[in-house]
Amino acid sequence: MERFNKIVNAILFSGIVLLLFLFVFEDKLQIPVWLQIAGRMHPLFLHFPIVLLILSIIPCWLPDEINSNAIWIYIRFVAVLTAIITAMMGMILSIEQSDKGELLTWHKWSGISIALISWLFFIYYNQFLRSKLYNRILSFGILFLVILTGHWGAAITHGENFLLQPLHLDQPSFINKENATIFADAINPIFKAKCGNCHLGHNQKGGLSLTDSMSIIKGGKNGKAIEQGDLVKSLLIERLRLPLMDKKHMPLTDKPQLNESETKLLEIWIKSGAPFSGKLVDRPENDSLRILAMEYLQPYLSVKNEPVYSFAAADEKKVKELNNNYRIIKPLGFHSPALTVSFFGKANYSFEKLKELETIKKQILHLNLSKMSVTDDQLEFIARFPYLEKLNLNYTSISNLGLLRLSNMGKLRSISIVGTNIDVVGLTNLLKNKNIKEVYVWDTKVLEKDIITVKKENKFVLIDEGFTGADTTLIALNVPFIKFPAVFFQENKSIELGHVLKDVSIKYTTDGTEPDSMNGVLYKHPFMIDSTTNLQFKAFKKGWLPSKLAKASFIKAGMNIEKTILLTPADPKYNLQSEKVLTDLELGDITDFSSKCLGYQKNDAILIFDLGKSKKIQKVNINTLQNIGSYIFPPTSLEVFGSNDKIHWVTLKRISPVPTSKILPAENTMYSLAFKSTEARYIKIEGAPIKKLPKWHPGKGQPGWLFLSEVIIY
Amino acid sequence: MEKELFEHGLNMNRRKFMSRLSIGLGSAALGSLLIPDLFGSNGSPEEAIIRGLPHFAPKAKRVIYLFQNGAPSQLESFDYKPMLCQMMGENLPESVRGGQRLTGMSSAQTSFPLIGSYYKFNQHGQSGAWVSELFPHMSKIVDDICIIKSMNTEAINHDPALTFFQSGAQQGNRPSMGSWVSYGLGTENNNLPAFCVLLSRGKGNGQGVYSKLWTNGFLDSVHQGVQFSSGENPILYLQDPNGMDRQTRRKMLDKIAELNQEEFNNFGDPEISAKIQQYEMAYRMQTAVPEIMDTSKESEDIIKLYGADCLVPGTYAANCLLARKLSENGVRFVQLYHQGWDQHGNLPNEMRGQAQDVDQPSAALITDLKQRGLLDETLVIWGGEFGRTNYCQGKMLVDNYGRDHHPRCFTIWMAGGGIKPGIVHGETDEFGYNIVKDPVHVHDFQATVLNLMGLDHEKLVYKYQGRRYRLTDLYGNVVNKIIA
Repeated sequence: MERFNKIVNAILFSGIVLLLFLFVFEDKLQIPVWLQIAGRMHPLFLHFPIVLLILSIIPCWLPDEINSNAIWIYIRFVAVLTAIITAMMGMILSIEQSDKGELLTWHKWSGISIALISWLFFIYYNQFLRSKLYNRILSFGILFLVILTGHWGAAITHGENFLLQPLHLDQPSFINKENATIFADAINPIFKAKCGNCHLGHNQKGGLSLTDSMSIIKGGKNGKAIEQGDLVKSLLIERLRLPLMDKKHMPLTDKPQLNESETKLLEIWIKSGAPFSGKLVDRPENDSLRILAMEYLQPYLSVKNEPVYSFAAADEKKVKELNNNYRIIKPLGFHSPALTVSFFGKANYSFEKLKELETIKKQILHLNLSKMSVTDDQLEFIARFPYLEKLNLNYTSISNLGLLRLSNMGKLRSISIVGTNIDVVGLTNLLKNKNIKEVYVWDTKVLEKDIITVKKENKFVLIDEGFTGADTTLIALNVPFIKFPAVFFQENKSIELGHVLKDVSIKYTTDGTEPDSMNGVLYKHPFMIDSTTNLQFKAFKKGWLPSKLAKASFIKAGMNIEKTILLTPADPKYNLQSEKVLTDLELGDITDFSSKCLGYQKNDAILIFDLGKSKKIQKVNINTLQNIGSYIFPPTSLEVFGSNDKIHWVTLKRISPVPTSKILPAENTMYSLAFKSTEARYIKIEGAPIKKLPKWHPGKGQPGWLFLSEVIIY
Repeated sequence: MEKELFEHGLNMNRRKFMSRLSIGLGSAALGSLLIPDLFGSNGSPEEAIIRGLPHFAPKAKRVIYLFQNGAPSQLESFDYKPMLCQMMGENLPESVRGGQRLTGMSSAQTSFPLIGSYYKFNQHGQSGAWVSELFPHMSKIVDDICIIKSMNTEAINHDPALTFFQSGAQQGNRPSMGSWVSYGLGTENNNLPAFCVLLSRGKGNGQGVYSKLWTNGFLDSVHQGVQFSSGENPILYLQDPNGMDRQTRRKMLDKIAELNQEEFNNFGDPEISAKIQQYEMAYRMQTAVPEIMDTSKESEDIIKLYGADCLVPGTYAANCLLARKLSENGVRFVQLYHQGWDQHGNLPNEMRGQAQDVDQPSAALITDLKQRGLLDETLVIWGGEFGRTNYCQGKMLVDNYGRDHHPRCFTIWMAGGGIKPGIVHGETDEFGYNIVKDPVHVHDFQATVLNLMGLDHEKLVYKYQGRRYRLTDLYGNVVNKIIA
């Protein structure tokens, strides 16, 4: 044991001597490269002495029998040894760094103190054993120093205030726009937030501190951080603008980066001569520094820019009590004492409901009573709302005289009296209150000529009479509607027309001519049709232009067709439900070709319809679709054959529709093929699509389409 | 015996105390992990939202969004480019396109011939804004609106672009803008939903809309958009079933509420009380909705203002009128969609029809809100999901051509509710291909809309699956230049 003590003491003593040597001669030493690695291990190694030192001071607080255990001597020894080694490593690391902020100096002194004091603690531990007091005092000293050194060290690596930052204690408070200063409110917060970890207060990496104007102008060891008015010479901007990958880029890659608007703001600040004092609003309106800074500050400005009211907020509980489904009371904003009140549901409104607002009348700024049964005596009550700015009385029962009662409202700025019985007398009464800046008088009894005079007398008041062009504006009616628009009918059909507007007269024809003031039948009540009819109709009304011509076809269903046979296939793209689609009593849809039609392009359409037994037939109606823009043309020819055995066919009728000469709107077209009455069970139809589109068409030369939508046999 | 038990409870030894203490500390630590702001000094953003209040005094109380679904061409509406007429048929210079991506529909094209507007442009109003002859009514209100020519988006196809506009993300399932507003501000009129949706369809080439566009996403289901249909029952399942009168309904609801309340007392699940409230709201809606849907009392002025189609249910004009009525009655967010603006071909013809559908009613809505003194508190937005190319897609004739999708720049307009009236914001280059001044990204637009509603887009958050979500995701700057 004696021998062990000797060796241990010698090791520790030489360690201390070496440490002090480093400390005294640090300026004169050149650290070899391999030792620099040892120095850089300081932040790693320091955790050993922290733990071991704390462990080794515990026994002096324990009973003697535990305290005297030999294991503690070893722990103390290792603790002191690691403390000395860590301090030496720290010295080496600090020699390597040329910039020595205040923090580093404090850290160095306290670190070496730990090494020394813990060494003394080790040597004199047994001497002091008798009176525990000294040991206990020393142990406290060591603990205190460890915490302090650790704190300074952490501040060097992580930045000051690293520990408490998450509590947001330093979040910017709200700024008043008028008082916002250039440096303190707009520029400095950026430095603080994005550069503060390494360049603020005592922490001066690269010798640079961005704390205040003095330190910023002074710059760091690599040169001046900013050159007032010169971006190129400002090292700060150069470092910010370096690519992120560049080693010299600032802030360091793993630290929060500046966003573009922040960088821009710093640039424009330096360009403008990097002013450290002055308010933003003192700069000219179009000054880019002012504009950018105001934009940057916007989130902090908004709240304080709200108008300030002289009254206190209403009791929150009271407001909550007064709120119900038909009377909504809300603060104008989160922090605002001002209230906005809206009433809804006429049936639930009464003067009593309004009177209940008595206790909060001081806080009400907006009051919406639109469509409520508000009378003049209620205006008397409203006039006692001292801060009311905006009042909506649309469609209420107020009168000319009543408005006189509002003339003493000091804050009333905007009032709507739309849809009331107010005339020019009431308007003049109202405008006796010179605080009013906006009046909405649409749909009242105020005449147009009166408005002109009132406007002249009150040049600074906005008087909005709204749209009053009902008599002078001539626009077209929309077309009438058909109540049951189904196209096909069996025996007969009742046609019922109507219009969305009142007092509209509808005229119609069934002979293909266009109805107008002279021509056509005036529709009075529903009428019956019993044959296929092409209806044309139009709406007329005084003060309106007639509607566009509307057309509707009603088709009488023909004989029952048992079966449809396609001798040639329809194009696979347009052959849905091919066995049914031509006989389903539904016309094709001009907006959707694929569902209710058969389309033919490559080959002619050849189809056979089986009536089940031989019948007398005299007419075949073939409905086709036309959409010239989409290459769907009328057929070049249509032919109908009849047969009783599906072998011997007789031509009944053949037509060649007139070729189209221009692009027309899409429509359903019916071809009626009538012939001499014939007995037949089978009807065959052949239709030929156009082979080559004409020259005027965008798709000239290409084959066109034939779309069949319905076949009716009479 | 009871005394013993009581004392047993009080009997605490050192070991018990220590274990209790550790649980106490542990749960405090756990608690602060789950609710990060437990020990924070500032109130959480969610706090404001639970109270249904704006973050600051709003400029607009309500929004009406006239979505032109399918992307109307800015080059035939508001972005006047005479250069395209001069260089008609010439190829789009590569220096202008700069290797920008194309859609699958025109990527096979060997040339990109520039095509000018078939329709003439004129300057209107005191602001001198250029508007094409397709929109004669909108031309008359240019001094009330703010035209933004520098909108840009990220998606190049309809569905993702539309979803992006509505929810801030291209892949569905995030809450729609109206849901966010409903979540942030709550409803104004407790008898109507806070977020209503109205659909209409023009004759032009169309693109679908789906209920995912007005979804509440991960937000509570009360914030979902309620679709109004044009038929007899504007809101599905709102009417009492046949044979049930209002009193029976009342009785039933009272009984159900009683049962639900009992359940709530047992479990304390807030969803239960939310359910009770929703039943009640539906009951009140049964009287509020028919009142609003009834257009029979509209004056001749109003009918002429919106056009006679405003009485035909399901048309854009009817929806505009309905939007005004809903908004007037305190609906926070009314979302319209008008389909049929996807003019890949036959543009001059189809666009004329589409313009006829929307021109008069859109302008009428502004006039109508204004004359009621409501425009200053109602924000109206008109626009599509992206723009259209300055070159022709497919066959090119002076009066018949098409334009492909173009997300790099397009035009929308906004009016009322705190928007600077009578200004044009942003500029595109003379080819109408790139933005040269004041670009407004979709997230910027969304941030601005929320700002006008008194909401800070960075604070309007909802925590879901461990992340706080915003309408503007991680981006968005409020466009202060267009705010009055």
